[in-house]
Amino acid sequence: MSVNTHLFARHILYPLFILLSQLAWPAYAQEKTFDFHGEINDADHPTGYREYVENGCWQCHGFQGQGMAGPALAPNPLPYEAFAALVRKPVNVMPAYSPALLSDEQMRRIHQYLQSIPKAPDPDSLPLLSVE
Amino acid sequence: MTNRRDFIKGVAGTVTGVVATAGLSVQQEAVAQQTAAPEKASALPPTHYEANMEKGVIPDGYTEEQAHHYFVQSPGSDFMVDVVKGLGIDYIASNPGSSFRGLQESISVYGGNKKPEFLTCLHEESAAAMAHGYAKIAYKPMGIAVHGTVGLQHAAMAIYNAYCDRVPMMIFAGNHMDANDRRPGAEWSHSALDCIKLVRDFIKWDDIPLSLPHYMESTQRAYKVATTPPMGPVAIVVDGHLQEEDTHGKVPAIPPYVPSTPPHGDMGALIEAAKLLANAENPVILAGRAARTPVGLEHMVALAEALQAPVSGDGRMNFPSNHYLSQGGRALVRQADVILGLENRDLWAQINSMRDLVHRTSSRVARDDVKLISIGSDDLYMLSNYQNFQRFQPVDLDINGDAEASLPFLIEEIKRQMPKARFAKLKDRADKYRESYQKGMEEERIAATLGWNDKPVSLYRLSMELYDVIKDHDWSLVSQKSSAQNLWPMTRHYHHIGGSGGAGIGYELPASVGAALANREHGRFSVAIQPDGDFLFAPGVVWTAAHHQIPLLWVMHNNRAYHQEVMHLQRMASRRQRGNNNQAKIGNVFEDPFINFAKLAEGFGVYSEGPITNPDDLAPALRRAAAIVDSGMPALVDVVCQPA
Repeated sequence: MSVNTHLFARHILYPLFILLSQLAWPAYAQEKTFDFHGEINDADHPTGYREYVENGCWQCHGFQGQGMAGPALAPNPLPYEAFAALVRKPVNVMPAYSPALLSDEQMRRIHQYLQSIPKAPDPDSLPLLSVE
Repeated sequence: MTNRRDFIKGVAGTVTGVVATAGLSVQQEAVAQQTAAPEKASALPPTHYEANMEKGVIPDGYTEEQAHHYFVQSPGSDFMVDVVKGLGIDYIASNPGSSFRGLQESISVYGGNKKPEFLTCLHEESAAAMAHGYAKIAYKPMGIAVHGTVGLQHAAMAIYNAYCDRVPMMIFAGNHMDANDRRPGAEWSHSALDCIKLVRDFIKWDDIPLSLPHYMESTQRAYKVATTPPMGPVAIVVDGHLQEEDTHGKVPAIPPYVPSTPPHGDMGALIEAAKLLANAENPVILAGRAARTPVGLEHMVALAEALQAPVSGDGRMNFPSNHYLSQGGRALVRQADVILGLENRDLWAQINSMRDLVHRTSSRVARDDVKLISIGSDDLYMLSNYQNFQRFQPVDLDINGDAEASLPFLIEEIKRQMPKARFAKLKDRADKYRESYQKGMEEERIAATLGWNDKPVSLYRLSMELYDVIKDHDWSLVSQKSSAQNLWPMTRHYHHIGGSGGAGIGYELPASVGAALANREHGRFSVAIQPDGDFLFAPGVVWTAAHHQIPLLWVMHNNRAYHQEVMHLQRMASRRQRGNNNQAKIGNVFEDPFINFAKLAEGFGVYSEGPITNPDDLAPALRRAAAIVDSGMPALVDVVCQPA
């Protein structure tokens, strides 16, 4: 590989690949999640997704942290320290997750997953949400 | 020993005597009654055969004794049907049973199967829950016919829901009181000394009539009790012999039914309530089952606007969701200085909060100095065993009476007592709530975007795709409303029907069919967002909808679980610091294999699509299904959804 080819690959193709894969990720990853009681293949999901599902976070907060029975967690999750404090000692009806049930490392990975959830579309961009 | 036939004759003779004192013969009275009955409640003209039988003509080839042995000229159940017609009961939902075979035949043949029409149900629980949903749209009870024993046991859960939800229902329970005439076998196991005992803890009234005059009086009384607030189910035992024995046309006159006026709150107390509300800085209205009718909905708007007070609560369709005074949240209660509760299911839980932790602690949400006013009819009829009356909440002014009936006077009194100096404050309050309403709706729109493209489908996405399909119809949500429908403009009294009342699963599917039946005559488009676990209790009602051509669109909220129980188990496991998601699923999820609701519906003869997992596939599927509903038939779209 010539230097120019290498530079082209490093500075153009690779970033482009990353960008495209990030853009494509939600659809790709979510395609695998609809079978939500099935086995989780880590290769299909971002970091922390396994911990998020296996510890039952999805039950109240949805697979994408969108909330329903519980509050929305993503996008833009709480800073890790606040998030961790609420997981360990919730202020409302959420059950407490002690270190015996959820390690710091697992909690960090869950937070990582929440951080990776892409921003929701602008409501004005969705005609179905323009209800008179 | 007097046999059954002689006993009936004796009763008929007694009736003859009673009626004769009014100056008319029994037959003249009966004819006069038939003539005077409202057109819609009258039976069809008899067939030639029936006319001959009524006249006492003996069929060719039979002696009088043989005819007496083989044939019945005018069975008691015909009269029972006349009484039902006189009450304007349009439907009897039922799974057929021999203990009321006489009544079923009279409905079908003597009554022409119209008003009431016999609705074929595949489970008594379906019949009762259909009646529950129907009443919430039709504002009048449906009848159900059940075996007094095995049928009533099936129906009990749905009757309990209706009781908790303050919904009227007429239960006709077949039984055989006279042991001397019971056939061996089933007729014994289908008889009971007191079959209504099973449900007496959660109905308003019942009786076991021993004669047709007794039946007539008790059925009219039962209807009156059922439809007078607080409403609820009532039961009449229809004895097998009473149904099947010949009256020889000697039946009592059926007096026209006159409904009771609903109980009204005490005038003095309403004046005091108006004073407190008119002078309040931050009045708040918490509505439970406040609006029973379209007029009730109008009164709720008038009340809120007279006070410029926010209205919270959706136990029923109490208030237009697109009105700026439609508000929610604990903050309303926290800042209120006067709170008006209207037919609240659980006022305590709105004034206080309790946390589901190891030690269940509660705290007061409302201000200590808040003035609490309650208007409701629940205290007028309360039974002790089942605890659906919820926790006791002391109030400052407790007004016993139907809230809807009390509203017109309260509104006028508030207007009369409103100090002129308050008018500027009313405008300020209106401005404040207009602003918070707009803010709240914008927050709803943002919440709806979260997970918009998710697979499985988010509830907001499902809800808004569905609304886009039905918005140009005269629609009615015949299922429980969730926050995912917060963006739907719900303005009419039939725009949603509230929940089950008793939280007994298995209500939603049959209730949707009953409500859709009531909507059918108005040409409304009925739609239900149907939970999967609820669907599975008695899915045969899907066939009932197809058989009776009841247009209704079911959109499955299929999260493949009793998901609430998944969350409960996770809570237990977390509290005990053991177990995770996999343990929480044990006993609670529908997997290995998944259940295919589209195929289930197809098997019942209903158009169906799904399971749909890609939200982009929703709109075309919903439109195809809606076209089926527009043609007058039910349809189902199975959608795999996000969990909660």
